[in-house]
Amino acid sequence: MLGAIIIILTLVLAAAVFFVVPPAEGLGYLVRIIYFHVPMAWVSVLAFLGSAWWAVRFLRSADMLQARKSYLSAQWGLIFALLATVSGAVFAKLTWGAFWNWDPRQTTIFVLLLIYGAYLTLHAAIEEPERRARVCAVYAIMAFLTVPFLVFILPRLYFSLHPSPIVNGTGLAMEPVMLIVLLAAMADATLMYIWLLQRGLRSGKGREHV
Amino acid sequence: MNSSIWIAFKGMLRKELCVGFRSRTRWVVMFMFAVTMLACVSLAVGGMGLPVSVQAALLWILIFFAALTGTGQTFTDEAQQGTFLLLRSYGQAQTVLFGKMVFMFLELLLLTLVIVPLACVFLNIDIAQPLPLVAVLLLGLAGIAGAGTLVAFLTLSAKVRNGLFFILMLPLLLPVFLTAIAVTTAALEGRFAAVSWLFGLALYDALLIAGSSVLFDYVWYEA
Repeated sequence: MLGAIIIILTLVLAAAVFFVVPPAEGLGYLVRIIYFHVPMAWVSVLAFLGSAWWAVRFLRSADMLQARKSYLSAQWGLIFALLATVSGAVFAKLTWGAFWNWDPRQTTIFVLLLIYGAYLTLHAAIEEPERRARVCAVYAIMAFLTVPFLVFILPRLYFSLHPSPIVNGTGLAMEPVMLIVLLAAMADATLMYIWLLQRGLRSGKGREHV
Repeated sequence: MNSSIWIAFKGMLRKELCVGFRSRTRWVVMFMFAVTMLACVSLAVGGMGLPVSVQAALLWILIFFAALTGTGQTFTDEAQQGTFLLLRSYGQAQTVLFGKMVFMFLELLLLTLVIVPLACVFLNIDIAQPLPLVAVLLLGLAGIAGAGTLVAFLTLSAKVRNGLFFILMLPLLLPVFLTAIAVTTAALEGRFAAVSWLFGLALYDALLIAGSSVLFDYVWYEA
């Protein structure tokens, strides 16, 4: 059911992005990338938050299901962050002339990729399931402590070309139709994340290890 | 502070100091690693007049990698020497954590006291404002020790430890690393280093230490 809703919503959004949304001033049709980039970035932060939340729940309850949720959430968060990075780099090339220039936002997402890449490496390096779940939960929480610094503080310390309004709400003059499509795309990405998480949990049902 | 915890902490720190300073091999490896890296960098850049920002970055790369070479072994050494079980039965989690953390900080301080003067000589670094440099060095080392003790324990049960310690530490310490380079650049140039940078660094260190303290209990008692 959820899968069908996501497919329909995605097709409707794709049609809206290509046929309804007007070009943005100064960006033209390049603005279409943001309907992919922003939802990916949003859902990756949501997934990392979920990973830390389930890690806390695992440490408090020792319930292996919570550990599995935490692991799956980090895994999908990393994939979404990777997609946000690639789409952002393409946007940067088309608008600023270079794929990568260590803009503060790029630095932030790169560090997030490193953190959760390290988390998955740690997960792969420990064999004993209970111990692995505990150690990874601790690292997931420790890693998440850095997120406020990386997402909210670091980008403000350096000059950035990255548009900030969507992220921190200082107000981008968006036409209502653009805003509605963007919010719908973020909702669609969130549903995708939930569906992927549910699928991952179902496929791992009956497994004793994480 | 509860006096028994304080006594236990002092005992733990004394034990770390005795064992740590006796382990000559680790010290030699750590210092030789730092000197070798410094020599490599100095030879590579030759007599080039490096910009101050590059000097600051090189200085922190040297400190960072030399520090991580020696500090990741703290719990592995206990396990290899067969003293780990004794340590668990002797000390509470927080006593062990802070005893090892303070020792790691002192160890890094000694290492830095060697690296910084050598780097000044070999990389032609002139320090215009020593006080902000000292402050940022102390805060940077506190951050490394704050996260390093917990991460060293996390890698204890992993199949591959050495590379893993670097992989886990680097992302956690990047905010420390980037801020430290910015403040060091300002200190070398003689510019006024914004207090907010040092305050931010201290805040991040506090976050790392508090996070380590809260989370260490969960892994220590289940190890």
